[in-house]
Amino acid sequence: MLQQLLVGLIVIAAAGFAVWKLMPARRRLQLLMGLDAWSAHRPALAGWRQRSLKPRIARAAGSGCDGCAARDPRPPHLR
Amino acid sequence: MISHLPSSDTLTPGTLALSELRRGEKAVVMGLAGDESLLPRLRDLGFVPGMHCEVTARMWPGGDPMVVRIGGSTFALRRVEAAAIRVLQVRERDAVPATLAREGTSAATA
Amino acid sequence: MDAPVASKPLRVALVGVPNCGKTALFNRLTGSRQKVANYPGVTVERREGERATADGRGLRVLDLPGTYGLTPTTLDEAITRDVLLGRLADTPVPDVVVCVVDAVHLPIGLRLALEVKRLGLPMILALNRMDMARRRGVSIDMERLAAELGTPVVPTVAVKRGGADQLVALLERAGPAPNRTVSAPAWHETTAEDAEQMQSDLRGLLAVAGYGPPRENPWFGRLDAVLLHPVSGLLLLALVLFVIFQAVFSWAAAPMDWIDASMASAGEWVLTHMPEGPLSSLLAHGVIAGAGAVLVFLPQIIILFFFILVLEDSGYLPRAAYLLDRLMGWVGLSGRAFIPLLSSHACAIPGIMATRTIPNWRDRLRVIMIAPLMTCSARLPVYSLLIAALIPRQDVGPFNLQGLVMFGLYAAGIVSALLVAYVMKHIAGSRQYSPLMLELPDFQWPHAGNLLLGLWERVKIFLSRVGGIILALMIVLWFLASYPEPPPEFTGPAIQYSYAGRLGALLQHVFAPLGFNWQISIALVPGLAAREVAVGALGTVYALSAASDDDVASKLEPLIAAEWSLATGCALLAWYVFAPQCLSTLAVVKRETNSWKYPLIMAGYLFALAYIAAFITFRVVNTWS
Repeated sequence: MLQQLLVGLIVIAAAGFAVWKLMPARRRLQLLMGLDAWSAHRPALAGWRQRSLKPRIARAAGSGCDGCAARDPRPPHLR
Repeated sequence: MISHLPSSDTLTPGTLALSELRRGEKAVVMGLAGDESLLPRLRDLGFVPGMHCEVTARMWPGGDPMVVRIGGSTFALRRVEAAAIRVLQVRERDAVPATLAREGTSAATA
Repeated sequence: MDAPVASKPLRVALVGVPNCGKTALFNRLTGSRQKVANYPGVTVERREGERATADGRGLRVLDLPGTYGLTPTTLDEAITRDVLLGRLADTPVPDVVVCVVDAVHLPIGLRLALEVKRLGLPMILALNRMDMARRRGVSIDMERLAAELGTPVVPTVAVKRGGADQLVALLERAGPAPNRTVSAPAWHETTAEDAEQMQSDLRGLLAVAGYGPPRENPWFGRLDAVLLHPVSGLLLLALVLFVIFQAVFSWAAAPMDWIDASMASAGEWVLTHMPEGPLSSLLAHGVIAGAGAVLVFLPQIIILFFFILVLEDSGYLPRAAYLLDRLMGWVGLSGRAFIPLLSSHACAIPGIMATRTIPNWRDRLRVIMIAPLMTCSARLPVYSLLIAALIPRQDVGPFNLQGLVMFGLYAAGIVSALLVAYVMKHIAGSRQYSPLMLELPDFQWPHAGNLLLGLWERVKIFLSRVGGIILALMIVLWFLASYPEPPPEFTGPAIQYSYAGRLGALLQHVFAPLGFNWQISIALVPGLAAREVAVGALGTVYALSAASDDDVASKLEPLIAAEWSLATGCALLAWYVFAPQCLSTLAVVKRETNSWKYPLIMAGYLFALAYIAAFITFRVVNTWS
């Protein structure tokens, strides 16, 4: 029973993660902004918001390659 | 490397297009003449009157593209780009004017 | 309104021609405190970093794309000009512009500096690589140069610790950041008269600084004589590519076997030591058989990237671009396309981003469209698995058959890319001339530290991909392939009763003409996210289809060897040469082209080619074998 619960949680977490990663970038950014607005009213979450959420929004507004490319794709001689 | 030549009209008789030079030949840039869209970038790269240059490689056939050393840097140019650069060939054995002799050529080896 | 003097950081912009070591200087100034984002509305990367200063104010440093002049020929260069002119909405005009000039190649950098000076912004000239210049017999009288130029001149050695100290000291003394915003400079395009004026100014400056041409390293000349020669150059290029190719496969073999064996024993351990149930199945069949199947390929990735990084750092790549310019011209591409296409062999995403250096939009688009056809590193697991399983380990003359097939697959990618480029040239070729005008930088030994850092980045990216999206998809797939569980009367393998099995059966109708079985059909679905996922998916699917739990963690390869026909395997290989199974790539194409049209066209034509190629391959191999 416990096993099944654990497995179920893992599968749900994995599915959520996969959906998150495969989401179009704009949708993801919208979700983050929504989360930001929601957590702005909850002082208990202020720490988390500063530490994790804001930098994540700043990054998501950028070039966002899905874990594949180096930061500067130009070969060194063209930098 | 830079001589004080008057910046004159570019099609002075006796000038060649850079694209006509063979490998190893050296020249002095006299001016640019050709496709207007190429000229600004060629100037930016240093192909301006008075600069010495040397052809270090030519692709076969036809020297398109070719490799030119100028101002201490090396560039690959297509034939049509090199054709826009008018030069006066400098041969080693010719009497070299004093101004040119002082600065030497752009690809002088130690 | 009085803002405290120490509050606003000084905004510094770095400009310079390509290859002047500007980015190394940027790294020296900002260390790890960098942020990479995008300029709004365009896909040019915006690199900004911070540096603390003694007075507490701090510097905000912006690394602008390299350019030869303020009349742009590419998108990158337009950004540099626009930032300096304050034309970009949320990037204000910098407080100070640092013109980075390679001391060894002073004329070309100084020419840009003169153009930038015309803007009237506060400027500092940073003479980089002064150590290198001294070694090559170049001496520059910095004081006289500064006096003549009218701006401060400081030496920098970006690659040494403390090499930027003088620059930072000068910036710290640059005075308080103005409370008012700096007004955008007035600027007009450089006319021929301006160019002449700058030319004579440049002559004056070089004479005053006492600059003479650098002592050439005779080895560079000799090396170039061989490397740039039409015959020896091309032969050596082919040799280099061949060596890389061989190395990736032979050097990686032993470590890969080791990882494979470790995965297998881990799976066995789980199944024997954990109580039977969903958790042990998840771990052994989902996680280990799935993600583990992809992890095996880490050694190949490392070796491939090692060679690519070495080639990039050494300065060889533009020379290869020169050698191939003519050949590529036959299919309507420029030699400049070589570098993005080579990078695409590692991953199409940086390759596509590297096309920003191609000035002409239509040319750039064509290169973007064919970049996914290059055999990217994500295809390696699929190719390796299928070749190991289905191609016999024979020798054909001095070559190994498996190696030849792999080489053939790489060649197929390149050849089909060239053909597609050729077709595109005739359908939608541009009349506009696309210039080459490519700088061939000096040779340099690849810096070991940079190399290791670059490799470590790659390893981290690979591992996070495997441990992230791939693992997640494998877990989801495991779930879909294990449930619902069949009733006791069901005779076939349990997996066929599950969601995944039913989906596979459905998809089979689409893929049957290609010889794909239902396991492949299932595996291709999560494989849409990333190519190597198909290997993991096959691992999970076959692990779950094992006749009994006693067949603990059988390795995938022998299973495939036993069950698939040669024709099926070859058809799948042919599918993979073309199929655009990488959502990330499509996302980047959308970003770089600013529309959905091109990624959709790309996905469309690639799927069509994949289907046709797989179909033909299947029929041909079937009748012939």
